[in-house]
Amino acid sequence: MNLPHADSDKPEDPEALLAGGLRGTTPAFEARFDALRRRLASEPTHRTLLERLVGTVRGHRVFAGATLAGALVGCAAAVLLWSRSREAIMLREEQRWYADVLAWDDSLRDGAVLTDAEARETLFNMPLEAHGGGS
Amino acid sequence: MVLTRGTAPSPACAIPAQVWSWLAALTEHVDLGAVDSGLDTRDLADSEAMRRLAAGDSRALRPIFDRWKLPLLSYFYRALASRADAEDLALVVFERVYRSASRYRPEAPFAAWLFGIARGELLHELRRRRRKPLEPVAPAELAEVGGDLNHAAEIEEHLLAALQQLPERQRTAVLLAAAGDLDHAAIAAALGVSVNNYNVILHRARQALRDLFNKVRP
Repeated sequence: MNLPHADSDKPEDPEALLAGGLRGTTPAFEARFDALRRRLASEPTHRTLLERLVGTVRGHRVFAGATLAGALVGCAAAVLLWSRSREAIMLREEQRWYADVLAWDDSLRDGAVLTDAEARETLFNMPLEAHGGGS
Repeated sequence: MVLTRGTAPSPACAIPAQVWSWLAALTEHVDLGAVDSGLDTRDLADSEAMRRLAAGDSRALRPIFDRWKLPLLSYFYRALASRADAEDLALVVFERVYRSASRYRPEAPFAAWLFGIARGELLHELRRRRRKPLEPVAPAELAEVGGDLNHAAEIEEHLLAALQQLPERQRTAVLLAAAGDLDHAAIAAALGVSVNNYNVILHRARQALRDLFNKVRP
């Protein structure tokens, strides 16, 4: 593709201009590739899953982000569970206290302790001799 | 043993996988140092090179690099309007090719797989970078450029400016179509769309590029 002369009145076709591309690479670029290949060759061939996850820069960021997110979620879940369990414990304690109160109350009713009204009625209904008085 | 091969197949060649397996078996003990020193690297099939890469032989990256460095560089240069950024990204792609070699399936065209990776890296770079001024190369660095070099430099700058205004998918479609290294199916696969959808994208891209280019030109 030869570009038309500046005085040509034919409009240039941009797609035709794209067909050319770059002519070649630079020595610096070739050297960078050789350095890359040597670095890759020096890496151990067997990589653990963790090494593969953090192998690339982007993988490292993703892994770090996922770990941080997981830690935050874990902490939030732990706090929630702890607060719920405390509520449950306190509720059980309260229920036990109520049960104890009711049991004490029942034992009071079953025992010889009378209310004032019951005591007064009992005294009035007792024989005079029992009162310890009379003429 | 040195294996004499014929012309390297194009990505769209319909050579069965069994033939490649046979070739792979014959070349099991080929010293790839010979490839570096004298053999024509284009003769080494992409799939064979990927098979060796997956086995951990980093020397097999060389023939892939030799075959695809210019198409990749040209694609990135036109998309980013900067040769330096294009070189950085091209090296990232070759490193990704090496690390992903075990996931490559020879049933798929290598060019589609390669440019799928390239497009992914380009999208990542576009999201990351801020708007940068154009850095067109000198006309002498462009293939098939003749005539008035000043005029060529001016046109190159206008072309890059027009390309920057295209949506990324349209830009990729028109760049890969113009390069001629991939067929329509491979480009559609690299874009992640059907062939019909790709044809529509390409048609719109061509129209848009023409309009933008004519608008940018004084």
